[in-house]
Amino acid sequence: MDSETLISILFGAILALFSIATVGYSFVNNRRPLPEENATYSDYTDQDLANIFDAISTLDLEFQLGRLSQEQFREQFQAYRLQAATVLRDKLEAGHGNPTWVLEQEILLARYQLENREERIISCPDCSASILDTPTNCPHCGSELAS
Amino acid sequence: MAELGAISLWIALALAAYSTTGSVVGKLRLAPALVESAKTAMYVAALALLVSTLSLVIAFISRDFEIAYVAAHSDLAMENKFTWVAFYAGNEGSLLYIGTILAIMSSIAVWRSPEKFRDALPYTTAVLMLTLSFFLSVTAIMANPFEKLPFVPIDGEGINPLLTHFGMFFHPPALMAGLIGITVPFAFATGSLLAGKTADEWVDPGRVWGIISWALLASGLLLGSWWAYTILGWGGFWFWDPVENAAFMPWLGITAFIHSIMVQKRRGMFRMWNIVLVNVSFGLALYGMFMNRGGSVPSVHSFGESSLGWIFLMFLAIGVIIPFAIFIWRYPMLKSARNLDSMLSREAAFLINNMLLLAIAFVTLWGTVYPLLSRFTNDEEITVARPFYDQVNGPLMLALVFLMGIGPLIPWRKATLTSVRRSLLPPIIGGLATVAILVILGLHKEYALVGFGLSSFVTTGILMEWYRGTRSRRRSSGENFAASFIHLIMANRPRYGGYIVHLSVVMVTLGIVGTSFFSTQKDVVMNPGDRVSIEDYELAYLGSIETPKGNRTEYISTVQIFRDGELIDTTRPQRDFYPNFNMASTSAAIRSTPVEDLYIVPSENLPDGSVGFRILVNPLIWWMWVAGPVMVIGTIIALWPQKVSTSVPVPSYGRFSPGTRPTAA
Amino acid sequence: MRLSILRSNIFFKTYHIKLLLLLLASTVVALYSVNTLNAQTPDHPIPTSIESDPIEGTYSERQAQGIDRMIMCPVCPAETIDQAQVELSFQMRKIVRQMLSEGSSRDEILDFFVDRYGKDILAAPPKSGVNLVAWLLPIVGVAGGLVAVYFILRSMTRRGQETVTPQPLADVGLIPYLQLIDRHLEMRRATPRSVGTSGHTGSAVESSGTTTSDETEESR
Repeated sequence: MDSETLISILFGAILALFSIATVGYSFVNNRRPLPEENATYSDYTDQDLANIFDAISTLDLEFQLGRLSQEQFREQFQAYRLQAATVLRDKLEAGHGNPTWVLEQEILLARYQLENREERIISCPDCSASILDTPTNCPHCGSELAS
Repeated sequence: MAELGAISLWIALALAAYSTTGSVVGKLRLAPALVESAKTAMYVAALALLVSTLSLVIAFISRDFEIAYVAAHSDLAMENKFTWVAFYAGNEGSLLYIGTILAIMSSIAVWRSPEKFRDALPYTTAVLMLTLSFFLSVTAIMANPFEKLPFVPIDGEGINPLLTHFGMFFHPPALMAGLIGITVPFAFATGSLLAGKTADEWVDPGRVWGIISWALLASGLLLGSWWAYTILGWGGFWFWDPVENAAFMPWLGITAFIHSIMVQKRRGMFRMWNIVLVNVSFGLALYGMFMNRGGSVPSVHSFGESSLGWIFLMFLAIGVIIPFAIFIWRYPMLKSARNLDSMLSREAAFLINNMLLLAIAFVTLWGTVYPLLSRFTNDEEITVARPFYDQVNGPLMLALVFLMGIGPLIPWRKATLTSVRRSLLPPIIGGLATVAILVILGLHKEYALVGFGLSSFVTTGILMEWYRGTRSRRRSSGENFAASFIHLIMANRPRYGGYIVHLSVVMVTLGIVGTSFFSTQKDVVMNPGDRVSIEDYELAYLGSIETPKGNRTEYISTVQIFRDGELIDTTRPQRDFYPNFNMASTSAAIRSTPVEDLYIVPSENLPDGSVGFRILVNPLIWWMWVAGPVMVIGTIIALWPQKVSTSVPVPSYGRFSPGTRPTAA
Repeated sequence: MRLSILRSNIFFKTYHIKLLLLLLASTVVALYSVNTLNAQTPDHPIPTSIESDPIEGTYSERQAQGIDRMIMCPVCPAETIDQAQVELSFQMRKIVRQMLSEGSSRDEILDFFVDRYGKDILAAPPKSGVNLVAWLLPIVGVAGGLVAVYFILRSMTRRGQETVTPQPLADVGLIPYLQLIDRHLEMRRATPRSVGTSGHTGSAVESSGTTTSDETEESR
């Protein structure tokens, strides 16, 4: 057996040992790394929410290119907005996601809730959506409100 | 080094098998450590295969002729750079290549898979590693590249001369990577089904890897056409060869898939259909790889006689039956999330697009299968070659180009008739105007008129879109045209990447229409001093130089090109004859302009010193080759991840000012 | 540029998509009925090119090449005599030109080769007899496919219209989340348009007057 063959086999054996070691490591090291720990603040993408924002982007673009009527655009935009809010609520209540992100959302939320509690909830006379008393326009149908 | 190569190959096989079983068992028995371990095994398998690949490369470079594969595909005279090509010139090497690529792609795909797919990921790993295990076991057991000869030959047999061409550095690897890459979206889909996921978690990675394998396959097909054009010496670029068709069909399937997957991503529809599509594409890809090695059909491409055919056929059967069984099992879960709002909508356009693509695939399959059918039922031998496909697939492809022009102009969900008419008006005018101009200029061939008209139709549509989008963005942001345009593209990358890819398809159409209908061909035998004219060129043959080299005889002819009496170029078309292979490879002299190609290739070198030339003028074929880079750019833009930041900076009460309101438009 | 000529309301909803599919189908069928893609219209006869054994008489080289592409080389793997560069192939090409110069028609030449080598010498199935199936099946299949797509689309729309109009907001608790979403949307629009962020043109949303968060806060 010449030296080259010997070296070959040696390297082969090293590779085999390395494989066994890395594969076996998972059993020894039982702690499962939480995926959130790897995500950094700015890199975190919440895919469901991102998809909805993406869809809103495209909706915007199509409206700008004149493919949708004002009516259609508004309809679909509201639907997406509602969907996004629902998804956001489900996520926060379930505690999914980057803890930093969750925390900042909850801070903002708490602030809104505090402010809203001081306001009245009324019904828009046009579309009968439940809205806060303060805005001058209904956020859903855009009609003006008498204050 | 052969030993290291062989050992690492077996290690990779063991790891792949372990990864398969570990993922499944770990998932079923709720043992996350086992699942982790199986995933790690996959990464290490990729590493082992890289080591194996490297060993083979070293063996080639060091001309280790004791290894049978090295002896069969190289020789002492071979230049080192062709080592890369010799690597996958034969069955054994190409199988090793496929295994390595699959391992690498699988590792990246699993590593980068989205968080929400975590539940189903072990099943996806299992599917990927099962496929890898198959390929590696075939390689290791039946077609081992590291097998040794009982003696050490003095010299090898040399590399197939047809492979010593620039295009060969990219065509087979791209093609094979594209074919095996289809396994990845397939694995995501199957993994999702096995895990019982009903929502669309697999769609994002499925789309990304679908597009990657699509682009690889498309590049492979285009590069193959370019290679055939420049080296095979008959001036054409597509044979409708059974092996070509076998690579073409999965490409059609995956094209359909990347379109309809958008519907599932956007609207949660077509769930069942996408599973069917990806299964069919995977089956066709396996069939494609089978055809390459089966040796059952004679072709320029086949790797020669091989007994691997039947085992690939078996895997093909498994790879089609089992996924469909899984599909039927999970069928009740795959309801669409939504209904179709209108038959005039982008969703509907995508479905028609799918149908056309599959129709072309069906016709191609039919043409490949018909000779066998005729042999068994009529006892008649029939050939199905280019004229059949041209006449039957041609109209379908034109219809597809037509749809490509309309589809992007139709919005999602529901299009109003007025908005569609408004969007379609400029392209229709553009198309009809082009046809009118061409008719006035004297062009009367119907198909060509349709082809050019449709190309203009699609291009006008795309340019209108770009213009409108840039204009509206400019209005709201106040930037200049260039900046608006760039930002428009960057803000809607999948869409605009898609537009660019569609433009590349139009370019290919131009090339095909131009060459199919308007090329002129002349076969002449010339003695030194002879002249011949073709179209508005005049060619003068000056003479040839015959140079015997190690394994071949090179004939370099000198031909001068004149136009309007002026010498515009002196070319040296070349023909190399390899007595060992009884084959010649040619290097055509091609004078290429966007308008037309002047193509000169020697087809025979006669003993009396005269040379038989084939001279072609191929209009517009330049566009087909340029389409390649354009397509790659479009794909990169479409795949470029858009960082959607959903994080809002937490306001501190002191500095917070309500509403960073953008300036009113 | 608006052409009011086109603003007629004759065509409605499903009607126009039927028309579109019909147009597509008839285009495809019409194109099928046109003959070979490489139009074999005989040009004006050109003098024979310089060959080692020039063939007497004139014939159209273009037509000869077209016939070459219809005949397979018997000894090559899937090549026509136009492509193949073997001696037999050159001989066969010569025969084609010989017969053309003697006045044979394209069909006569093809029949000549079929008599000698069998039907598989032709590059495509003959459009007669049993082999007509080869040509008809794809046409039938495609037409069938178009019909199937039409019905599938129709059944997908029939399944009941999805309510697009948002219900009046019964869920008051969602309001703070809506405000948060509005803030997100605003942040996306307000971020500078650099590569890597997905800012988007926002003026449409602004002008349609449906965002509220600013008005909510500013009026406080």
